Amino acid sequence: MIKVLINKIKRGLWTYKQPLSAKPNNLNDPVSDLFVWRHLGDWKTYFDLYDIGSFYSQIPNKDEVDVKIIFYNPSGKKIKECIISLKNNQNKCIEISSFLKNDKHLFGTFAVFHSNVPGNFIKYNSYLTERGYTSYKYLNKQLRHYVHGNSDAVSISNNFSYLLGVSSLLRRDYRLQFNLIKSETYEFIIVNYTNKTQKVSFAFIDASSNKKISVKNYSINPNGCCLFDGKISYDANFRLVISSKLIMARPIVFRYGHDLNFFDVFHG
Amino acid sequence: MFIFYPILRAPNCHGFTVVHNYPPNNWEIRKNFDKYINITWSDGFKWNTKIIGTLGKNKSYKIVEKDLNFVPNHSLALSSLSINKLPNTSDILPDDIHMKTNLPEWRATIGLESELGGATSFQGEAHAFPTNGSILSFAPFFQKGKDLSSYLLFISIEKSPSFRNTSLFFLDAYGEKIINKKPLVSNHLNIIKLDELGYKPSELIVLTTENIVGIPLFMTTYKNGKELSLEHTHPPASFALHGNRWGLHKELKEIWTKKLIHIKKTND
Repeated sequence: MIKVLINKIKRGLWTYKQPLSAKPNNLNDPVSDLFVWRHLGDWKTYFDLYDIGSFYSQIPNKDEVDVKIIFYNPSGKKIKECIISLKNNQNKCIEISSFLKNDKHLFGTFAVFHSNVPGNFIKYNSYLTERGYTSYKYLNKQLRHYVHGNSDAVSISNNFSYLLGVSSLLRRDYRLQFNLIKSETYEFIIVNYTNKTQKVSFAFIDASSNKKISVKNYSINPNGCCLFDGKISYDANFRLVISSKLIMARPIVFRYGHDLNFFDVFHG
Repeated sequence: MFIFYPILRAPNCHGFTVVHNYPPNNWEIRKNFDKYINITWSDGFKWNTKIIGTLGKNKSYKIVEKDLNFVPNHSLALSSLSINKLPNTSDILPDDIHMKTNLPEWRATIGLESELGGATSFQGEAHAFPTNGSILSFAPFFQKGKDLSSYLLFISIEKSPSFRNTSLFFLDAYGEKIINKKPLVSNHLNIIKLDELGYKPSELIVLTTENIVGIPLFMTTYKNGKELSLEHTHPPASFALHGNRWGLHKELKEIWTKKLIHIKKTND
């Protein structure tokens, strides 16, 4: 009995009042992940946009609906917003980088807010959330490489966006379950979806001995993101552990083959 | 529920899965163990399991499709890590102690590589699905163009080893017509070429089944494997946050079931 209680207290340190995301202010407030854009140089970013709300009606309403996209720079400062009209049930693959032609930053975040929130969501006390699909083209490659959204990061009310992420009481390790190898190079992006500036540490660990090879620290503003693009010169296989007070510091991983023979992106 | 990690197959590619014997965070699993590396497959009547090695704590192991010559052609090979030995044969999908984590789940690297240099992967896991369920999935991943080929890889895993024959319906985004219908077999990796189904590039693909659940993966190749792109869809429950999201999900599925029934009646 006492052992069960101790285990509950121990677990409570990691879970009590520490949800992945808080509830938005109003049931009509749409939610979005904070997606990552990259542009300039060899990058193009795309997002597949479709009216989620239209799926929830038996007879499709064929009117156009609006979607608002808000762009932030890596420091989390809002740099642009735009409205896109969508035909019901149409898939519009929009080139995100085309909205950022005058911005000199190489990467940042963006949120996608749907105006069409059907009554079914209100009925079930749920919030409509966009966790869709960003894709990237790199160099002269022909394919768009997709990565899905994963966080319910930000909401909007009366034109004012607010973050939903919660900080952890204790620092947490996110151990990327992926083998890093010397013949490939990697970049990792972490997004801060909380209202506090977050200190994030990237530790690279030898896969055989479990010893630290190198550590790099970043500070990320709310709405912003950091990009680890350092080369790790190491002859053996290694792993990445990300420590922070984010509930889940799940990185987006950009992976490049030897001599850039391939490029891939995935959620870590 | 015990976790499995499928080993993929696809035209002009080799599948691989890297299993990792370290938890994905520092707070949900207190004690880890050395584990057996298993390959499990169905012959239609029973589940067969072969131990292919052991994996020490903090280690990873890459399983490649071509090393699995003991698995019959066209069978779905499922890898797993178990603390105890799994039975050589069993009437239901074998099970072991589940070292469950939530933030995130304990994942493997599941991917495809080609001899022409393409490589792609995602972090994933799979469980046995109920036999009385259905799926509904909205997929924007269709990439069309010169020298591009797109495939759906539909993974079905059920507790019973039997091979059930059923169907996958491809609908238009309004749910007003069936674009195509393809056979599916349970406990298989079903590969369906998307290019010839009849979708236009800007059309959203809507997948639905009546009595089978699975994981839909979308894969695109450029020039038979020079480049590869792979991503899975989110289940539609992820359109909703908080509240009774499963109730809302049920209502969404009922809407699309009625749409399918209506189309079938109209076609009769």
